[in-house]
Amino acid sequence: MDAIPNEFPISLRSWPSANSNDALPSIIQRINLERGGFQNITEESLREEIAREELNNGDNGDSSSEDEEEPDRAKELNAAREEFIGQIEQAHQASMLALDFISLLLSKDAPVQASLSLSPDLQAMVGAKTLGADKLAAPRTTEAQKQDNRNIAKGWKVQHLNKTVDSILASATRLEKEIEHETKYWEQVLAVSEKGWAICRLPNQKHILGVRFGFSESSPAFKGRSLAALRRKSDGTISLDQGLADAEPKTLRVRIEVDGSFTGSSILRKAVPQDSPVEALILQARNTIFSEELWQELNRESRILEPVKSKDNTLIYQLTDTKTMVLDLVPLEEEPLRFTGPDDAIAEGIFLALNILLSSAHRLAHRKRTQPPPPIVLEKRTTPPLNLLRPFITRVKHQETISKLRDILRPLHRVLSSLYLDHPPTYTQIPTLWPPQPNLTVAERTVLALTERLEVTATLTITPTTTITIKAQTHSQPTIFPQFVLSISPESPLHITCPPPTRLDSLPALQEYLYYATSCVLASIFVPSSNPPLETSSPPLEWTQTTTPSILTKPLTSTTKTKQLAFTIRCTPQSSSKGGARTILRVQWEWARGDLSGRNLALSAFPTTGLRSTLWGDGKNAGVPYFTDQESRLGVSPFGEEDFDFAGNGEGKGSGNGNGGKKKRGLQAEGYYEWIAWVGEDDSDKGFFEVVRSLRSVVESAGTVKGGEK
Amino acid sequence: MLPTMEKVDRSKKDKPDNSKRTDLPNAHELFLTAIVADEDFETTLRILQGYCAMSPINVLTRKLTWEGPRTRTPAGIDAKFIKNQPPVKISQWSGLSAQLARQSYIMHLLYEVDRQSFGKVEGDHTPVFQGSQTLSLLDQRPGILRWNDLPDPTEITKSSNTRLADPGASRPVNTRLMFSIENHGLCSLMKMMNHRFVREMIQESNRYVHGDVVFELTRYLQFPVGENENPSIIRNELPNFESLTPFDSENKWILTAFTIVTKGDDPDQMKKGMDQLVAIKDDFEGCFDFKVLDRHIFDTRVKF
Repeated sequence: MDAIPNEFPISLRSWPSANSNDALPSIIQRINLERGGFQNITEESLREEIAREELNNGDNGDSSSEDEEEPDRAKELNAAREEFIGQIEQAHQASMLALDFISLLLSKDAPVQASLSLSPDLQAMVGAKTLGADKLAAPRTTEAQKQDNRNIAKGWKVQHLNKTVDSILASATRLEKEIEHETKYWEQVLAVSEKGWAICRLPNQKHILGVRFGFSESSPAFKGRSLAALRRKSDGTISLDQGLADAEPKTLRVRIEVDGSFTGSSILRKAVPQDSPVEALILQARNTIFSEELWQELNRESRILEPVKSKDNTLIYQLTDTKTMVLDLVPLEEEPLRFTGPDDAIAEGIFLALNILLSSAHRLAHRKRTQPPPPIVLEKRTTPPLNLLRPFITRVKHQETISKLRDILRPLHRVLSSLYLDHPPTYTQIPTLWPPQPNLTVAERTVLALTERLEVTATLTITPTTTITIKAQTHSQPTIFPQFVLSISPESPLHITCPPPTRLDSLPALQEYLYYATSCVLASIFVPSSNPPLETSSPPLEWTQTTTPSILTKPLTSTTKTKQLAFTIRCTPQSSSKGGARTILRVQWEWARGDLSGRNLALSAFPTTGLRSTLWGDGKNAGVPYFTDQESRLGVSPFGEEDFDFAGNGEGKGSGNGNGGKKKRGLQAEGYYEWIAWVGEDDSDKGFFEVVRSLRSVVESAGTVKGGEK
Repeated sequence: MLPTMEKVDRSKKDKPDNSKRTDLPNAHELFLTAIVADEDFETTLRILQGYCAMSPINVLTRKLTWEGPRTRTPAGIDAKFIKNQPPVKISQWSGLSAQLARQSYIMHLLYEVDRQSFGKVEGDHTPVFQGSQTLSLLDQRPGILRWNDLPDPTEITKSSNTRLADPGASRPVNTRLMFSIENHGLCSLMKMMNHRFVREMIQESNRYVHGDVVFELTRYLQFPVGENENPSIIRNELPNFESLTPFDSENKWILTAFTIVTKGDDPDQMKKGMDQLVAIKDDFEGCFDFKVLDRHIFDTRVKF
């Protein structure tokens, strides 16, 4: 099958665009393909080609003329060759004839010598010693001329001897210099090798040494660039030649941005000047290739990681509500601009973390590669992007979760402590430490401990029977998300009243459940233990739980009215409250409305006397009258005694809005009490503690009838 | 039924049956072998270290040889045993059982040990007999059961093997069907299948991984003579490592380059594996002489 001859160049590439800014490597590649290298090209041959091409274009320039040219050139060559041979033959003939003539001439005087060079044909034809020569006149050279000749000969000899001596001296000096340079070169190569760099021969130019500064676990694109030639410069010093690779030193830069301006940046090292020792250049090349690989892997990963955005050659990620992290690859300069800002430490920390994570990923790849491989299948296995940003973001999110969890649980614990319950509540928050894997190095174990299976266990004991355990985990696959696993101690009443969902996915949901569950537990303290009730016709005079576990009711037999007691815990957000987010436990008591109450709701109005406790204040006043800011703005004031009709007519002036402001309606023996804790306060405030009422006393007084009641 | 039939012919006759069963696992091992003299051992380690860019992993294995029953009608593996296995392993055990039902084979049990176990006295000193409940302390450890078939012919024969991608050429590598299953209680299983414990050797090997191919530089060590009273008892204690002697009189090392292909009947997969091995053979030309060996060297069939 000779459809296509072997030398026919097939190229599946499209024609290169006629772009004059073609990169050097692609031009070189094309030249190599066309002409097989630069060795056979000289200036003259190129000029000849150009001239020939112009000639051809002058003719008619189609491809057929090329074909015709081919045989013409061959014929030309042959003709020239024939001519050449003919001329040589002629020269040979002439010289043979001359030789014969001289031999014949000499045969008279030196027959032995002459017969050696005399051709046998001539000898046979003419015979030896048949020609003679004689001197007829004396030579005309004078003695002076002869002396001149002798001098000239001597002079030439001396000249040539001098020249020889000079050239020998010159080559000796050159050799000495060469040796010196070579020694220097080898010393430097040895110095580089002793520093730990791997020296090897270049694969395509076996007589040149190169140094390998890349990493063995890099992706193939970077492995190809990790070899640099060590060349000897004219003065003997060594130079690093990275060939066609871009030798500009680069590094990854991490910056922190707040509100559009940069507040922190990682430290940019100075570029090593070109004339520094070669080890420094090699080190810089290694750092550059590491940074470039880091940048490429970060970009690859950001394409599958949702929170990281790519914009204008930078990677952007929102660290916290205010701070944004910006990553980019920048070239190093010899005189870098120094940038300092308050968040420099954060930026530098992130930079170091990313570098460590790349090394850790390399180590993981090494472990994977050196294990016995799985059986061969046909599908190509693509390497997934390395996990660099993912463990970092997981860790950041986990720390966020930990501190937010603490901000929920600590104030809650403080509120519970201030209730003076019989058994004080306890709260702990402990990160889980997994047992270390035995085959790993300390470095690997440290990285793993920081980034994998992150978990913290928080335990809140409210009553002796109720302990809530929260396991807060941050997962990194398939996306980065937190998860909370709840468990309650087995004897807790919560299992009946408010069983926990096993898994919660967000902190607000957890917070809601915690508050509700805590209020249920507090309510259940005052419910007597579930012994079988005595068979009495009348309902017991104790608090009982309603269908809402955080609300208790208690019938007051004297008036067949039922009192309702509600426990709620809420949290005011940071933005709207002065001094930070507050966790507030409120116990509210009121008459039960509707069917639960007695038939006769002859209730009289009564000024509310809700007193608010504060754990913050100057301790002089035991409480301040309750009004929210909003109410005081709207002009709400407590009812004075004159507003109400204590006679029990059920009427009061309250219906009239004489003051022009809204009146707060309240009923006698209703009110509430609140315990508050702030985020961020700590126990050093104990000195200013004021006496707050204990939960028990509040509940008791809520459950009794105030004096003045019928 | 055909007692005069040649064993080789019988294997050829039986082989087409097996290749038609596509439901059973069909993993093949492709391998090439070279011999390394003891004085070249260090150099070989260094060369392989450079080629594979990793340090050698030194593995010591107890290799127990078990011979199948000398009968022409062997039973496979007990079906109840196979059913009790975890689902992922059932197909492996069924495949092995099918092979063991046609012919009696010699199999190996491999238990990895570390250097520190040599010369150490195990806790229990009571000797174990073949009739006792626990055949060996090894039953309590996970081990690997390794079964190899006779390798496929590498020359072109009249009865050409349909598994070759190009029937006209000869195979450049040795190939053989194999099963390698990890389990507990393997010694008792062997006893249950009427296999007889023949001997034990220590396999010392240095392993390198290069892409899909694994290099193993191996030699076999045998236990000192005279120490073992009853050669058919599996020992519980291992003597000092220094007291072991090489199996080969010249203490040669065997360098094997092998890769495992999931489906032996898929010509593309086989070609992929073969190409890698052939490339390695070319790379090491002049350094190691990787050869295709005569398949009867690796014959594991029980002959009687």
